[in-house]
Amino acid sequence: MKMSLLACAIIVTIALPVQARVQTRDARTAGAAPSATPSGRAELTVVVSTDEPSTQPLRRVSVAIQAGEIDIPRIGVTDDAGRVVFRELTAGNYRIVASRPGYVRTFYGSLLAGRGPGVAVSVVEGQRNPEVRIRMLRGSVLTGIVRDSSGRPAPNQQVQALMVRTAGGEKRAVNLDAGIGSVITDDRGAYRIFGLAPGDYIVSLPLIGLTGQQVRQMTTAELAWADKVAASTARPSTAPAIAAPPEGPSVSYAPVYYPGTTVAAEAGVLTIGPSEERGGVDLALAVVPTAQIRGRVVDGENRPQSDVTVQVRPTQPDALDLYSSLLMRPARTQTDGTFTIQGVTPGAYTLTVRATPRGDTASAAGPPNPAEAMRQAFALMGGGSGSHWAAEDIVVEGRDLSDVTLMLRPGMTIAGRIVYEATTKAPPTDMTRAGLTLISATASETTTAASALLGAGAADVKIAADGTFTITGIAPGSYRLNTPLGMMSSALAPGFGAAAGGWTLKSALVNGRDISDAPIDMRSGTDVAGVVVTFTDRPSELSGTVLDSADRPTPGFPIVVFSTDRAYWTQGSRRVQQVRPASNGTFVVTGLPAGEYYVCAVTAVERTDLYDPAFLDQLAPASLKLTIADGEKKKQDLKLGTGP
Amino acid sequence: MTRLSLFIVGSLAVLIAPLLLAQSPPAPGRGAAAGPPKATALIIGQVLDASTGQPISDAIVTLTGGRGAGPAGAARGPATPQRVMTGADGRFVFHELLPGQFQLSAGLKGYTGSLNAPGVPAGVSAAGSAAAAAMLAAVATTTGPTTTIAVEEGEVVAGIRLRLWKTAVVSGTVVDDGGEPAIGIMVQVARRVMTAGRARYLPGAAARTDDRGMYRISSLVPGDYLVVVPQTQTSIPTAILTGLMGSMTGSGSPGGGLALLDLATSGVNPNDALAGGVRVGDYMVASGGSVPLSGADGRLLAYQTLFYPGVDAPAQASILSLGSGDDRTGLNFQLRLIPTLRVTGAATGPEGPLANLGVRLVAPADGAGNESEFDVATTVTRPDGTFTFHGVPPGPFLLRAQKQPRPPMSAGMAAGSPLMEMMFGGGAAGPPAEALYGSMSVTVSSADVDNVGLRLAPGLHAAGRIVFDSASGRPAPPPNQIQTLTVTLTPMDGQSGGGLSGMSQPDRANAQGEFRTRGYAAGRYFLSIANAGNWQVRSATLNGRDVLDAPLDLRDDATGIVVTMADELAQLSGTVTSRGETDLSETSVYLVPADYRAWITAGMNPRRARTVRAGRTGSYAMANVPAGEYFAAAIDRADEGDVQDPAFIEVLSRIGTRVVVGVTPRTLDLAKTRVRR
Repeated sequence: MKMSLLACAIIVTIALPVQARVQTRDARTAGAAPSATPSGRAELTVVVSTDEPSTQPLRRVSVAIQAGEIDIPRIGVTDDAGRVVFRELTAGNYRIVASRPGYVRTFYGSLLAGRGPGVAVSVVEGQRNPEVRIRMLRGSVLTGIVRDSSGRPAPNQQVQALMVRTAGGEKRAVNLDAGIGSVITDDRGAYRIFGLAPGDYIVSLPLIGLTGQQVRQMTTAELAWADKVAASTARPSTAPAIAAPPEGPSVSYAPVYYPGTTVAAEAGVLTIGPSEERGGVDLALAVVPTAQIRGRVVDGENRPQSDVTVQVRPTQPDALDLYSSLLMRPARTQTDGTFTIQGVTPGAYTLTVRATPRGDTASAAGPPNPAEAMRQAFALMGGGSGSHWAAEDIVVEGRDLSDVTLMLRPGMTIAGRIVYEATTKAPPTDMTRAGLTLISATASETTTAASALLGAGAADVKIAADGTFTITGIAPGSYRLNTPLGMMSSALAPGFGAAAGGWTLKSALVNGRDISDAPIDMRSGTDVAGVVVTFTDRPSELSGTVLDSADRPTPGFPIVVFSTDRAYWTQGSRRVQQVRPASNGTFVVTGLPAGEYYVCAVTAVERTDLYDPAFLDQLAPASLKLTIADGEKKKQDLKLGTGP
Repeated sequence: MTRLSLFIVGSLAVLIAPLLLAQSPPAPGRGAAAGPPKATALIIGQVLDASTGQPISDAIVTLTGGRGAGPAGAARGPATPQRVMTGADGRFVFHELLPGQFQLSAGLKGYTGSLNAPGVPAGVSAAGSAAAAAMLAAVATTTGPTTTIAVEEGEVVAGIRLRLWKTAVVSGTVVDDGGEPAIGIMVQVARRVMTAGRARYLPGAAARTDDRGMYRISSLVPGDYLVVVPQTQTSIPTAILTGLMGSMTGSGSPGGGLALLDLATSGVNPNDALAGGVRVGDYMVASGGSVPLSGADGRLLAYQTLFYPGVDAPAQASILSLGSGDDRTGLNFQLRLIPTLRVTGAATGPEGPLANLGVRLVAPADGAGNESEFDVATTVTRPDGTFTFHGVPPGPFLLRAQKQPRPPMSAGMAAGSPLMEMMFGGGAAGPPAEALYGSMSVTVSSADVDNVGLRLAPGLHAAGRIVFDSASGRPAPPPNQIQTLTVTLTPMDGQSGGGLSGMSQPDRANAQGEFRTRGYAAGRYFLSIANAGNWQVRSATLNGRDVLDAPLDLRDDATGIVVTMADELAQLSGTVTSRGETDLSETSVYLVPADYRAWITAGMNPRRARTVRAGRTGSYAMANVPAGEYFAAAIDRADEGDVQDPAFIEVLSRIGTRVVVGVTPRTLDLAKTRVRR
């Protein structure tokens, strides 16, 4: 395990008696309700300059300030002196982000170039707030040339740089903000990716195989044979007497990773320094043999199943490959239950189907209307829709595969009921719209968020008006149950406190285990019943102030709060959260489920490290332990000591 | 903008994009009928660089067709296309072919198969979607027009040449008003296409400047171009974004996403303002993807749309004639920051104020060309129908708005998608049953323009009936076939409706042959009937006047149109000869009306101008030619021109052979002619 993960010393966290601190609280910690003041009188000045030895003011920088996760940011542009003034601000903790094309997006107070969230600046009403200074790094540049197999420049090829982070010993690719890392080669095959933050990158041609078309490569033997036939044929309508040589292989362009591999795991990692211009990152198009996969889908009684969608996915998706699912085109079965998938590049794949078996073989009539087509397309993100499933692993090595049989088997079921714990709000009388979704625990953050947004869960959820629900058609695997908004929040914006209509998911309990955070393993033939999903209108809150050894509020250190139960140290868990204190040292963590937690201040934390058990194990001994009860609004100040 | 809201906005853009491009799926191919002929035919050919004559390796050659030679209409579905990749010598072979008609085409990135490629697909050209158009243009491999080859059993067809032209490139540098490199600025080309004899500049490929301010736009099909740094000032009420977030989080009312759908149906793309706009009053304002600046007097300063060489009107712009392989460098720009003004007003429809309506401000048509395809500014109405454009430069403009019926999607989308239900479901007001259109002139000079009243009126309809008149006494098609006939009006000026208008189903006749189209904006249109099988339009009249060759001038509903379908299939066929040439497949045969001057004056109805490729042996055939007198000419594909360009029609009339096409097949042999233009 790489110790550099921590990139910092753990700070021993000392509990302080709460009553010892009487802190000026800002609007956010004073209560959940937003400030009633329509427009404030506070003022904030931001001055931006270049991060160079001879620092220069930077003009035309967009500076966005934002108090809450879903507020519309206020944006100002710096003048020739690099200065922008925000007026009529209400009191609050403002996060500040500076952007300028060609420069690295800078989150005020963040120690990591290009990454947030940074330190929020506490703006106090009626007070002259200090000037905030931001230094922006000129972005690094990657350039190179893409050529085809014969060395010709390859124009119009998409080249992508993805940042690489390492967590738990695994390298993961991370998309860059706002498409910074993606460009298209020009007619000379040249590309230039700019505005990069220093860090580790992989560079690839990610979507080159997207067409999924079967293309045959010409062989000289074939052409020679054709010439011979043409020469020997005196006139048309004479059948060639010479047998044709074997056809050339079916090929496709495969995604290529610098320095020249089609295997994501073998991609070379480029470490780019601040404001560095790295040239010569050249790529060559790779033509690989492809195969055609033929098979059929049948039900348990071997009856062919028409009009079902067969999906292809890499059996072991590589965390450096974010696009493999896009490159694979789903196939639809014909009336005889057969399907054909063309242009499959070498690799290990799993074919999956979700469908409800039909006894008759009649094809569905007519094309679906646009809305239905769209719904079906969404459902495919979660693997389709239906009561049954089938899956088959295949290995493709350039040769066609036929006779792959996918037999539909009944999916598993999760059943339970929804309960509302109401303190101030009236629970809904019709619970059909409570919104629950089951999503694979192994899906990436982006997939999870997109599936949740589209309602493309891994199974079909039905909720009755009285809150009883059944989730059917579950294939074996590991899943989490949450609201769509909760899923999105856990994937994209932890701590955002996903409260649909003021109701927060408190827990989804099976045998004392909360499957909204700790995935449930569904095995073939085992249904799960008695799940109790509880919504509350009283989410918990942990707040306090971080103080340095001289008892001064200090904003510099992120706080990590995590369950003492290792079972909850999972990707996207609500029981593992990080928060940056504001500039006055105050912090708030909302929506922690009841339980026992460790709280620790660290010098820096990467989001990808947050769920890494090795990282959390190191934090635990230096942490403060505390218990959060249902709906508790707990105050806990933290005092920093010196590390061991 | 936060990660979450960016994700949502991004996802919505992704969701709406397929709607903009949606087309009904093609009918699935049905099983192959095993026939007695043997699969023994062969096609051998080579892909060549048209300029250098050098073979092109790694080109993809696509063979489609191979449908049975049975009676037309009984043909089976298209066979799966076969694709091969050429080797080092550019050669290819397709073998084991059944007898039949095949289409061949070749493609490779950086090359084009046609010197006269169509512009950006209709609907995508709507302003605001420039980025989408650019993306399409960049990712697509331009495949050439197809060469049709008929093969017999066991036939060996050798020596097919497929020519590809190298595309052209433009490049330069953009600096801002302070002389610093302007980074991330979009530069776009607009290709000149002719419609009804007037020039239109269709936004095409685009590129963004890099960190040195440099841009390079490649893959340009030879032709005449403008180079533009388009700057559209986009405004959108903040209420739409807060409504969206409110629906998402459940803190607001459901259906916040409907506003975005409304915007899509009015052809406005607010993504720039949503993703990174500055708050001005109750609007978010973005300036060509960047943030507008405030001047000392509080007015917004914005970059002006510039056409090379740095002028603000297309009429003064340089037209670059790009040939195959041309590389134009030094097309540099210096951005100009100008003080802008505000235009406010209100949009009303027949039933009152129109909320969430996209309103566009465009440069009007001038003597040189049509209405500009580059929006000067766009905005969106508030719930009470009022609107504000921020950042408007001075000038004469046309204010345009349309509201298409909302696509029927809410019910289906909500099923199984709780968030979609939140976004699109709920008690939103019903969609307007009719498309609404509005347009008016606005001139902005030195002061803000306030209280502009924009009225939208329901679209106009064309209605009538379709009758069948067979010369051979053939009965009219059965009612179920008549119901599949589609009736379409195509604007004479080629201006597309934009937005979601392309998504709705085409208008069909009923079983009795009666039809009533959707509402169109007032204007002049060409009427066409499709899906008629072996039947062909012979005439269309309104109150005894021709509305088939002449445009239909829609000022009110046009009712009582009589469309007569006939089954006489007037055909023109023949053979092209050319001294010293054995393979004539690179020959195009043109047919244009003999009374071309009158035809040009009447708007150049595309129905009366035809182009086909000759076969290898020089044979050509044009089916369903409207009866009349024409000029026919055979020219090399390298000399191809635009049949909507009067100058090219003049050329064809000079070299063409006069021919009368009646109601029976006509044969005409042609000698290939060199064209000097």
